[in-house]
Amino acid sequence: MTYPLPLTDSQHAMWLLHTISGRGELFNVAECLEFKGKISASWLQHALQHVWQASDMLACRFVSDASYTPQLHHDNTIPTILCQDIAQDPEDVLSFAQQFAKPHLAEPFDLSQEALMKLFLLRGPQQDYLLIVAHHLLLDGYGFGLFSQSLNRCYNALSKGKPLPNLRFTGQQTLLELQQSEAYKTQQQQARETLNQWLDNADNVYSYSTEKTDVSEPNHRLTSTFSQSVWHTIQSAAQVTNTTSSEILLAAIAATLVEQHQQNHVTLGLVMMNRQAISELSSPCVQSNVLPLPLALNGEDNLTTVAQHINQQIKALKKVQSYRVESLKRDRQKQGKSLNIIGPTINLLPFASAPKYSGIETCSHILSAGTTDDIMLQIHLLGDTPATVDFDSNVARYDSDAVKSIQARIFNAAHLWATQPKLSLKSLCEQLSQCNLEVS
Amino acid sequence: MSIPKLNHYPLPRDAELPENRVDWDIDPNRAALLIHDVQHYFVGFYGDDNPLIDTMIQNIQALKAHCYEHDIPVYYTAQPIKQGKHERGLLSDMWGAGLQDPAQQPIVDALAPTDKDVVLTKWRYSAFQKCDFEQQLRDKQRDQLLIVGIYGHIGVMTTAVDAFMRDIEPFLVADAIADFTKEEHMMALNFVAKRCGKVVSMSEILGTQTQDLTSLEGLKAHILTLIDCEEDEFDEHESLIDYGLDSVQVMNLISLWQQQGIETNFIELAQIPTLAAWVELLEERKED
Repeated sequence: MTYPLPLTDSQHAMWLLHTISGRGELFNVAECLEFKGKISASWLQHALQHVWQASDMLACRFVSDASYTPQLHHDNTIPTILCQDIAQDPEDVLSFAQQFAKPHLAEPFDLSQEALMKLFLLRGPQQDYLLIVAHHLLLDGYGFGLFSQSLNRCYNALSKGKPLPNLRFTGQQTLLELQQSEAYKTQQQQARETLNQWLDNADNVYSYSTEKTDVSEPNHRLTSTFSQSVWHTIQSAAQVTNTTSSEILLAAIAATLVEQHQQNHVTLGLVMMNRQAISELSSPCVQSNVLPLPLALNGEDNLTTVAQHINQQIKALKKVQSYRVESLKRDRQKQGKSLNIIGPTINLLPFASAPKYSGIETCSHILSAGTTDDIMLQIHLLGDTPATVDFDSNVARYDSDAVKSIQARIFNAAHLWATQPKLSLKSLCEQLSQCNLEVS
Repeated sequence: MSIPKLNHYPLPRDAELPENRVDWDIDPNRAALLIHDVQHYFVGFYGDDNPLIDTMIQNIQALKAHCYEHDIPVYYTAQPIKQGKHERGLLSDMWGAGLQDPAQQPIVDALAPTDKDVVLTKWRYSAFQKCDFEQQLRDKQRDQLLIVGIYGHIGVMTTAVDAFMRDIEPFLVADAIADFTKEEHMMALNFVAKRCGKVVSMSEILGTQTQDLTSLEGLKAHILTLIDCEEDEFDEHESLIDYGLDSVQVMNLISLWQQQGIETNFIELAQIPTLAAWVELLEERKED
């Protein structure tokens, strides 16, 4: 393979955001893998080496020339996992990991000089904790899962004395060939037309705040989990309405916007995995995209009709997910139209798994999935386990009371509508308004 | 102090049922069916058009038809109205005055007893208390009791315990019972399976097949309900992602397999997104 290689559209968009913003740290992501026991640091480092060397999208640097054209240079220098002893195992692992990650998340990577991942193995008396801070250019949510799974396979092979597995990551060149093919370009062009048409037809786009202030400090996070009994009702409602619990949550979010703005047409932002072909599904690098999900609702709609509408819109969105949001914003700018194209952003995360490392159970904690300039709801879907929602918000637009209120309204809407799926959107909004009045 | 307003939840799937300690088989010549407390009053706490109650009633209707077909006697319990303090005993302290309105006393219309059925007066949690139910069963040479109705972790479970202590084999029909919450429903099933009876499902009693979601045919049938594709156009070697199967639907499948003890995850499935490859992976995992 001859290097350097060009970047994919998604990599290029992320590189531009990092470079132009002058705030590279906003694109850092972090995860903590909690081991329910002690693991071998040397096997872990060896496993990392194998994974790293198997993907040129990991073992690389992003170097630009004088004309600001970045290229991917191959660099096989493997990050060293920094080991650090901690005096006692934390009671609240998530808070501890967030605190530890904070300074590292605040530090931008040098895209041209260093590996875009830092790893720390924190060694407590009873347990170990692997903290990974990476640049979004290297891994998105799916990519993190792909990386973690590969690391786990290699570690387990080492622990059993077996040969290391043949990891089949897609190479940069293969991904480029796919995404530069005529068929792919045609699909993107069609997607561009469709998305612009959707936005032309959409009314104003609303979020929970009308503030436009940019991000000046790390997002604030509020985490809430549905109670078991409410989650069971949502699951039951999903069966009754022949939909999924995630579509019910999206319906509830849409309902809170309808209630707040007294407008039946709302537009959510939906994070799309943007991987269709096998080669894309075997690539860890950033590919995910955030696109508008316009919902034209009607006051007489019930949960079934709204969830079905959402389902249809998501299906339509899948067909256009390859067109980058940054390009869409440029299109709108050139046409002199509003750059405000999405409301609250929703990230559905079904990627959680808890692999065992040589018999040691694990639990993963997502510390940061990137920065939002408005509000992003990261919805962790874990099958029958009640969903947990991280409300990440720009503190310049939302104070903590405002986020608490949004959380309460969404959870209340989901509960009310799941309990009474035949309730019309209009009646639901009346009930929500009543609840809001009582609270205030 | 009264019963709280109740919500719906999904009835347990076969794969969720607890492991039974006993290996009893239902014998139509020994069995009786008890439809427990499905009176307007108790059903009313679930509100109108409650999906849990609708499904439970449909299942009890099917089970009752099965019992008629196999000459299995059918019994009901129903609490009387306006019980005095002496009659109601400690139930008043726990639940208040209870059933007062005569209109709320009958069994719900969809399950109304016929002349063939026996309606027992219910005085306490257990259907056997202050009642000759045990004698009625003995008279008909019945020593197995299929129990359905509401509420799972109160009267239904207590009646099962009482039956066990009278050497009558109780069978709880897991998907023909409703409870306050799914946790309490599962608690009742777990207790009975481990301590005093056998937990069975509708499909087990009626002999109907449930889809095997690990077989090629079973999984294909399930997936065809999730995607927009006709059966004759479906190719098991084509990408399910291209067919429109989404990540949340994949997660739901992962949960269903997990209940059968098969561990998979989204990332590994996404890298081999065809039905044929998934079935192969599931076969490997079954052997692990």
